[in-house]
Amino acid sequence: MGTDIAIHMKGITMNTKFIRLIQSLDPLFPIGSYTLSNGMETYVQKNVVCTREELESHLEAYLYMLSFNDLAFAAKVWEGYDIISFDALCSALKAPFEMRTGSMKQCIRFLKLHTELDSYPLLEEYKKQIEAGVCDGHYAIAMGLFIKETDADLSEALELYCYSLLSSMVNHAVKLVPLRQFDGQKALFAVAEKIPDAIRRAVSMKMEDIGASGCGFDIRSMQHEKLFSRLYIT
Amino acid sequence: MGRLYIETTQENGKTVVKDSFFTAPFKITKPFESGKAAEIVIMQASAGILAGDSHEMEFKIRSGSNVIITGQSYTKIFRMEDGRAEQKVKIKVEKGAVLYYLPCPMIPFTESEFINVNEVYLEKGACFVMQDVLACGRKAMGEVFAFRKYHSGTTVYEDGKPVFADNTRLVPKEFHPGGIGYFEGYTHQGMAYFYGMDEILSVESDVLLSAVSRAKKGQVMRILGNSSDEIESYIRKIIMEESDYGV
Repeated sequence: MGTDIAIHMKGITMNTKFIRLIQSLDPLFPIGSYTLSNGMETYVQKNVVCTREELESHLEAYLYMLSFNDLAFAAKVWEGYDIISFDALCSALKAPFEMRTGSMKQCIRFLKLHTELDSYPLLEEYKKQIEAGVCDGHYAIAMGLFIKETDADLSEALELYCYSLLSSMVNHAVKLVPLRQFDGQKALFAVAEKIPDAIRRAVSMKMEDIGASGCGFDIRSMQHEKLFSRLYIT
Repeated sequence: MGRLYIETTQENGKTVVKDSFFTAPFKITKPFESGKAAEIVIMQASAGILAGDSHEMEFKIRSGSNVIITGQSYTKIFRMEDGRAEQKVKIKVEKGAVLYYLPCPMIPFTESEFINVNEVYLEKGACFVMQDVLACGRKAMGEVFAFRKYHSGTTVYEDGKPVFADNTRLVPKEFHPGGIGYFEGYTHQGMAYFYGMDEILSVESDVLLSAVSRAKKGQVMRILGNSSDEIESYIRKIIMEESDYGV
């Protein structure tokens, strides 16, 4: 037949595998994305991000940083790097406490939900390693494994993953600053143009470049631990 | 290629250099007493780092020794028409030993490319403090992020497992690091890592943007400012408050 719909991969049809990815990356997927501002709450309280233009600069830097971090972690895991040692490296690189524990919280929720929804051997294995204390469990690693399970195209899946991280960030900014919804969408539209470049960088990343980050992002995450009033947990 | 090796141990309650060798451009001072610790200053006979340089340093701090390793003022990374310079630092600290690794701030000149890799192997029960301070260039001359690439990566292992990693990789032509998320309008950055020390509670400063947090193991402090002197003396102050350094 040769039609797309007739092709089965690992028991998931072409059209549902992508929908499963979209469902997982939807802000409504209950893994707590709405509670993690990833430093945006600090940026707003310290008056660094107050306008649409400032949000755009933030998002551009955030996207650049993500290409060396979560996007690259997911890509490497998909490639088949050893999960246990990669998980340890991830915990070492995510040095600010909230950055590390936020990623761990999302990971375990993501794994619990998916292993209840269907059978995913790679996710079940990772969940067991976390429960046994062998791994800490990071969201980006779970995402890399999930992309593999759904057999989606790596770059397309990473583009979606990246879009979802940026879109959550925009939603936090819109609520926190506050900005007009339309300004948020304008900023997202502008940064989205750069997603394919970021994915190309993440997919071809050399191991020595993995985890490259920005001093500012780390400081804002650390400052969040001590903010006087907090709506978000990171 | 410059090589440097220092191994310290404890004899009759005092820290001594058990073994050492170095090749040009490296030189080391005789250790001098600084409180409970022995301080060793690493000197470079050359004016700075040049294209094609490939330096390797190794420090083995054995049980019972208490060591401070510092350098002289600044490390200049000179302009490179092409090519690059590399440095590899391997550190081992045994249980019951203390090391403060406080190299000089780095100043990368226009069109320079420098890659540094720090590998730190700690045994449980060791104490270790390090700093990594970077200037945007010769700021007074208006040289701001004009280097080609500056890459300094650090991985700290506790009994073979990574417990802290830092990866500073700056390529201004690929992404200008002056703004939000990176230098945020400042021109200098600093990182300090503390392992096996009391918890640092506050890092308030009037002139610097700084914060501290618990890494997987140990604590990490990050600082942004407008001068390496300010960042260095600030790190030194925290170290003095939190430990026996120089007491």
